Amino acid sequence: MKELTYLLSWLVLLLYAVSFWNYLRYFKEKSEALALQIRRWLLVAVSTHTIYLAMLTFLTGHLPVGNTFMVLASSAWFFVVVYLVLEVRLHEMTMGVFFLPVILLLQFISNSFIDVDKPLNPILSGMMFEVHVALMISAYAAFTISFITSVMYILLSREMQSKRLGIFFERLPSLQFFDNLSNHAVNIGLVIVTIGIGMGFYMAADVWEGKWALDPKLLAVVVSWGIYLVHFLTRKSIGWQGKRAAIVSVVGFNWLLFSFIIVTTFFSKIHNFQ
Amino acid sequence: MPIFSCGVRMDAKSRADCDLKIDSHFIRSVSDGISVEEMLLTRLDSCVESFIRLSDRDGFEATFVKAVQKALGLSLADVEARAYRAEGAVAVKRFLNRAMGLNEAGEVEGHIHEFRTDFLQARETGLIGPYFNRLYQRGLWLAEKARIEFNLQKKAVSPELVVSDLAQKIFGDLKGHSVFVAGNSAECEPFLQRLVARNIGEVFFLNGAGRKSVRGMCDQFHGKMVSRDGLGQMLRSVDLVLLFDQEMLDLIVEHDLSRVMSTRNNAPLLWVTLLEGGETATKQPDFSKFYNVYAYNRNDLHGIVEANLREYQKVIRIINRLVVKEIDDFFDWVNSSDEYRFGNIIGKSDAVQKILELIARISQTDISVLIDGESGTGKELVALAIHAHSGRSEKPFVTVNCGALPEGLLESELFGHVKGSFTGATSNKKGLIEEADQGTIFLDEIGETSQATQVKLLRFLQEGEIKPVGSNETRKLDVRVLAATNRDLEKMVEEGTFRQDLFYRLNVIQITVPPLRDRREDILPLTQFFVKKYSDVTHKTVYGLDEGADKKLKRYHWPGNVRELENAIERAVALSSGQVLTVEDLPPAILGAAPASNNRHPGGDLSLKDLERRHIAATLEEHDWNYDLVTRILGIGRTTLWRKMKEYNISN
Repeated sequence: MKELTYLLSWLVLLLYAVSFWNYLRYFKEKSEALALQIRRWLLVAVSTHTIYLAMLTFLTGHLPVGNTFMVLASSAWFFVVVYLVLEVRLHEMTMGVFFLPVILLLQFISNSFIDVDKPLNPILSGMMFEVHVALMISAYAAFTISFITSVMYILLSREMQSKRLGIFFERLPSLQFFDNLSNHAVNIGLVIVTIGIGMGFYMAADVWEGKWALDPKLLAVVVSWGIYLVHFLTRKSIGWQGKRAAIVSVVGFNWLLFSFIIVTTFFSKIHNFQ
Repeated sequence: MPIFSCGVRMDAKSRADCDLKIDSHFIRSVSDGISVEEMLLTRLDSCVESFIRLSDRDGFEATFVKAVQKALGLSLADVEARAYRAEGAVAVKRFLNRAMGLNEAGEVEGHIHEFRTDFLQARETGLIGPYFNRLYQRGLWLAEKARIEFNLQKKAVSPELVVSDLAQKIFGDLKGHSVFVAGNSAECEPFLQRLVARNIGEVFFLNGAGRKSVRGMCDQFHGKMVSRDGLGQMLRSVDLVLLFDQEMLDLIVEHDLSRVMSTRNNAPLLWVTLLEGGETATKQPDFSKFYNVYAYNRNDLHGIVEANLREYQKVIRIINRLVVKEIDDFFDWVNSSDEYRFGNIIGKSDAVQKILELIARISQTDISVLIDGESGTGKELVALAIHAHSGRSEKPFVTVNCGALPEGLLESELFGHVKGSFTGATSNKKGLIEEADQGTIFLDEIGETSQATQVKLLRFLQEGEIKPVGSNETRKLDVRVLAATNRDLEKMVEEGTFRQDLFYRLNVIQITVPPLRDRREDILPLTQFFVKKYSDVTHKTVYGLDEGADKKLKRYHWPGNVRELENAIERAVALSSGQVLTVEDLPPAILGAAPASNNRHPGGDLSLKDLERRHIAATLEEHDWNYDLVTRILGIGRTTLWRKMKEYNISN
């Protein structure tokens, strides 16, 4: 059972790699015949991923949010679901080629840390905690969407300012499209992450009795919250938009990755999953 | 075979009172010794190119020759020698190139839409004959092929297109975005037309002193005039700026630009300067401080166009090979004297031409087509033509007559069955739809299918999957579906005997083949074709029909359409003893028939008695004086019929 789960975790990664390859081909050729096939592969990947998460839940007896590798695996799964909904709703398949590398990275890190035998910290298995993690994952999903659309915005914008129109100009939708999508994602993400952090503070105050103030992970999260707040405020007040907003979003997401992965690994103190 | 054609301006719509003005470009080319055929394909600004039908060109020709003579000071012999040059290959090539949006040199230019409007307009004048119709259809087909297979027309090939593409890439939907234009109308118009075609919101013009052309443009594009004082205010909110005018550029740069830009809230701006005499000498505004500005000048736009054209070069080489083949085919066809024959379809009527054009346009896509028309009109030929012109032409074409098979059998024929799924299913059998994989399936008499089969067909059309009878596995297939019916499917949908969703799925494109009586022009070419066909079969030398037979054929109302005509001619050829068919050779049904028109429903004022007399006479004639049959049809007794015949003086 355990071996099967480990095997499945790599199969999921492989399937996402296949999907990424498909999206890359689609990006180059843009044939509608390929479009159907692509979505089918991604659906296979996300279904396998669902089975994998279900098996983790079964093995550990908790929702798969209890430690780093599980949270990463769950996040990746949720991001793909959100992405799929967006793709279907917006009829825009070119985003996949930018989106899937993020998933591949998350899934790869998750697989590298995989260990289902490690006991879970009992305080991290309550209902309240699970809601907190779910909220954070949702917010990160929104920030991920904002990140990839911002990257695409910058690529397209740079190509247009260089005055040599190439594949991005040919394939991607308009700057306006990316700008709107990114802004919406940040707005939604900001609301959710505010609630999530609030909940986190509440629980931390309860559990850690004041030791939490210097926790690097917590600080990191607050900083990323600040970055996205800057994104929101500068947009509303001094009219940062387009390229500049996109840069803020990219910075924010990089900081997120940094805080989520590096801080958890190297600075782990109390706010970790052990 | 001269294709008489010319590039002349036609001001009047009708041929009779057209006023010929020979374009200077045309004159130059004629005096350079280029054949007139080539001329017709050069685009002369704002004039309809006219294409002259071979058969009724006389009046036009005389005027034309005179005009050329006068313009060039040539003798009549000179003009004729030049005007009737036989080889039209270059001309045909140009025509086909233009139909695909290529210019004379074979470069992508992208005026497909204009070309089509020009042609259709020329056709309205009644001057288009079979040759140009044929070329036009081939051109449509080639254009579709170039678009679908080679992505031609996707990239911008003119500065105007580049600008509207850029605008669309920045702003998405251009509705709700505005443009400011400064320059004279000749420069601005092409750009504005492209932008308007993409639904640009407001268009601003500067209210300058003494610029009449600007005012005209403002009216033409429903624009707004802005005064010099309002310039800064307008620039604050505008999304796209097109400048052709150095003076204007200086004005903006010196007075407003930096201040305006800082109040724009970094909103994206597309700034295009297209100044006379290159960009190098002129002062350019400095946008480096502003990050959402996309500034292009004339050289940038030309650079992009050139890059796109370079990418097209390879494709165009392939297309040129296609065109060469097309030209050969065209002249083969011209020399074959089957001027009303297009593959398997024969006809000169407008209805048939329109069908052929539709076929040319839709055959290369995979959308389903519903062909309707009375029985015997040639629905299957239309389906075959669509298949033959598609990318699937090398793959199977499978015809299923849905009316010919009983219910259960039709289902297993279409979808196949597995061994043991019903009594007598002793082995697995592939369905006809599967046989047609990669190709086309033609479902004739689609109106005769049962509800159960309709559901399965709908599933197949939507998902592209079939499930053989008795099998649990679905199979994914790539089949194009064409359907035909002689019943009124819309009415059947209303009555609930035909599924609405299936109807909509099939009826993406509808081709209605009109009955033969509604396109009497086609009777003669069809007759000629069948006479030739059956005289070959029967080893006879029949050349045609005499006048009497011809008249009879034209007057008959052909309830059985082309099929009936074919049978009639087959019979006539078999019976004939001479070299032409005469009235005696035709079947009695045609001979006995009353003239199809103005008999049953005569116009003008008629008394009841008159009407009765005509009706009885017509019915008698139609049914070969078969009194039994006629009394039954008219619902009167035999004695009454005799009495009335005597009264009205009707006799055989």
